[in-house]
Amino acid sequence: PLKLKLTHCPTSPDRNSSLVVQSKMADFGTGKRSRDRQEEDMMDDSDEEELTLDQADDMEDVQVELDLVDLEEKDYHSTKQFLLNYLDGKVFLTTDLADLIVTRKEIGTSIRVNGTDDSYGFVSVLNMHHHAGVKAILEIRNHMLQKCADKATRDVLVSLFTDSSKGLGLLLNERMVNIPDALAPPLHQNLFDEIAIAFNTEKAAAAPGTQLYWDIENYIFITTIYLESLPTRVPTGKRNKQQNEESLYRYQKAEDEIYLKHASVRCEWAGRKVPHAMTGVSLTEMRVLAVVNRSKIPVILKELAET
Amino acid sequence: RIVGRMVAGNRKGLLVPTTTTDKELQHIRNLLPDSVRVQRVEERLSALGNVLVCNDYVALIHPDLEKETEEIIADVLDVEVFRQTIAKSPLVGSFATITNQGALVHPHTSLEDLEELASLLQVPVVAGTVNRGSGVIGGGLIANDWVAFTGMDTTATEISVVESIFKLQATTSSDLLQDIRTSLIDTM
Repeated sequence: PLKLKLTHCPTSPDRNSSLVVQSKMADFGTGKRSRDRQEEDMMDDSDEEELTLDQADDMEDVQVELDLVDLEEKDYHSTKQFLLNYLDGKVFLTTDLADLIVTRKEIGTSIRVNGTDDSYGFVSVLNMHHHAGVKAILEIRNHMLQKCADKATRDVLVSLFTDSSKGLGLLLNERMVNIPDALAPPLHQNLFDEIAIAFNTEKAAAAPGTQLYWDIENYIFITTIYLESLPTRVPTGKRNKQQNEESLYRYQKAEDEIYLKHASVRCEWAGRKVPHAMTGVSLTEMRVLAVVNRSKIPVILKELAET
Repeated sequence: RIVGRMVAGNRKGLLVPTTTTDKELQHIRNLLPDSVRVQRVEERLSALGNVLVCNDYVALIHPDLEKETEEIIADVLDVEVFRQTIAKSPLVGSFATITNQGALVHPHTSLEDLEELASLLQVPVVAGTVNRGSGVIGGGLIANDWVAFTGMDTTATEISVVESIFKLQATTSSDLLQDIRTSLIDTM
């Protein structure tokens, strides 16, 4: 059995939060989970959570300790690397984007293997209206509009991009494929906690009436999910078809399923076909663009914590 | 295939590795002016761009290069050749870029090494980075007496260092006068 230990350190105003996740990674994505959980309260001292995963015994266990730490300058190159394929292989100014991300001090988390400088993933949010002049942001906007086939959705996107009274946050959430999903709840919880703190700090310091960076109404993001190809079959009815469609999506990152469930806008386009690592079944890589309103965030975080 | 790392040369000549085909060699000879001598070098360490760095007067080479190769370099490129390491690494071509105006080397180069290099090369030498903290100068920067190209990751600070060491900013007459004045004061 795998043991996953989470220790949550309190988030202080100067954001020295780090979570330590100790995990034995063997087989990924299979097996049952049983959980013994305590109520998590931010203001208290360290809480402990223990998750036990039952896994097949025939695989070798690799002891890995993952830290969630603040993004810093040394994450620049790995962050840039993760973003290279953000626009489906189109070359864009990842340098500027990575620069914006690692220099944002108030929020942003990097997943690091304990003791090393290697970043295995990161999460951050950038206010698209405040960075509207940055070429990389423009390129992302144009790409989103270009890839969205449906005109109605495109119009919604255009209004989101142009209405600067409603802050639009670009949520960037990338990591390596085999990072355990148990990392996602604290990762995202931490992100939104940091945003809340940053918002309060900014509000206290700013003159009344100014458009705050952290006053984000909607979060927009692009992620990759997989669509399993159906063997050819005659559709027997609307209800039948719907049931089949829902079960076909495979989520690389567990939180994607929950975010997409609560998305107000959703747009997807197909990428290449890849074989599933375990079963060899052909999957189509789908790039999904989605927008989530801030009112849905607490629900999402709650559902994420329960998975 | 990464040509920059395979060849090395200056105004007077170009050296290509053993792996160059006759056809390629002919093609290069045709493209370059006759004043530039193109020579294929039979050398085990075939990535000449990594083992050799030179300007029009001086060349630094990997300490393990053949004696014969050293002679070819001195002859074809018309330079004085020195066997040298940079920041304890023998790959001089990867960790330094030099022009007739100056040289930029790996950030971990010690002060003594910097002084030694400056005396060998007879140009100002500075240790710095390119591509946002990378010490592989030769792989991230290419420069000559008039212009330099560097990778997209390079920060503004790094660019200003490159500009100053290779004297790439546009100089006005007042700057020249300033240079003359300061050097006169130094010598007095």
